[in-house]
Amino acid sequence: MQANHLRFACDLGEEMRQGIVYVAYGDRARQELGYSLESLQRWSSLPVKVIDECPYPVFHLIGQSPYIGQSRITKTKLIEMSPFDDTLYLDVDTRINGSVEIGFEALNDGFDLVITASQNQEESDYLWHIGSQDREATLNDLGFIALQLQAGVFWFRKNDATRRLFEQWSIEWAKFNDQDQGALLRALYRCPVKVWLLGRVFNGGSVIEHRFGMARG
Amino acid sequence: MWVQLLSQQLIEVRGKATTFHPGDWVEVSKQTADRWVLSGQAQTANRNGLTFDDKMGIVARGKTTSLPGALAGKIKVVNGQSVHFEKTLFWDGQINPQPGLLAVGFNLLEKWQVAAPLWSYTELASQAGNENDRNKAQTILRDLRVLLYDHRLVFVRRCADGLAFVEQWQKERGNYHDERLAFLVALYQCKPIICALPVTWVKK
Repeated sequence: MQANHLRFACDLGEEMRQGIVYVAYGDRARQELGYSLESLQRWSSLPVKVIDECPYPVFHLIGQSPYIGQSRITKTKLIEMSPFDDTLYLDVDTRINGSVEIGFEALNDGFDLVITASQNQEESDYLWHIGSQDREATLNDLGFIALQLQAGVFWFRKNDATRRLFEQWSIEWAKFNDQDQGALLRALYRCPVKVWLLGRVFNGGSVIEHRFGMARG
Repeated sequence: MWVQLLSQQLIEVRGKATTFHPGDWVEVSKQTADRWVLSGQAQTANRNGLTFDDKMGIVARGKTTSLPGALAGKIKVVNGQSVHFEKTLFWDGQINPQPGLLAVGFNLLEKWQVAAPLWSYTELASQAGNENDRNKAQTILRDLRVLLYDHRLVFVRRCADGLAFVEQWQKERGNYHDERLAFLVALYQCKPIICALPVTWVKK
């Protein structure tokens, strides 16, 4: 496999059809980002945008987030901050070991969101990693223990349905200012979109490895 | 907190593990009660229980039209293949649905066009069917490293997209030995707004 040179969105003119976005806040996240980008360039030549809260001299930063100290709200604003029609969002603690085209193909074929289910699906572990108020609100809103989704790797297409979803995601996240996954579930159940579910190989598996939590300082 | 069981549970009573049956009222911690209610294993005194209306109904495949215990007589069941009711549950008469969750499933159709449990969190389409099935499915799905749905319990709203999906699903059933792939291919082709449910919705 030939190495591809990373192309950053600032280097491009009109070529904004498909691309990859990271959110990297803090030194640890930026360090992880470096490793992730190194792995990505072996498998994809798509343009990359890195969203950070401050200028970062090494990478061609074109996305400076106004949400200082709040990386999670930035994720809920991706639809505004991504310059691409079709976006793959990657957590910085991912390592790419295969083609990521599957998600873009599904978007091209008409899906709105391509994502994986979380590895923890035991009822006793339901949304274990989020605050109790956030979890209780999610349980009350949905009325049942729903399938948990892992929002560290997902593809989305900009359209009216996903704009509504992201808008609702921001609203839901702002209720507790906590993790994003409870908020995503509440948003999705209020604003459903066409979802295509991938196997775990694409988030925490052989194609996209996920070193959960490594980016937190 | 008192809850009425919808499924059999083993509960410690005075240090002794005791079996309780569907319909029994038991007192448990609030945390346990909440978990059971939300997973359809119990209902509280304030809940209306298994409430269904005449917009909802079950289309059973095969000869079975008798629902298990708690559901018997509460909801209409017909044999067939079509979206017979405004909110239809396609039920393979062989599996046991979680009774407390059926009302939840029908209510999901207010927002979603289709709702169905996943088959497994780990088994992928790449492991289903025979080689011929997989080759055919791959021409549609492009990549088989995707999750399968449990086609034996499928909620469908009677709308244009729901009807189109069911029609395609019936068509694909004739094209595949493994019905899970037929369902997935129809899903990819029609793209109804589908709510994927936990595998626990079907008792295994």
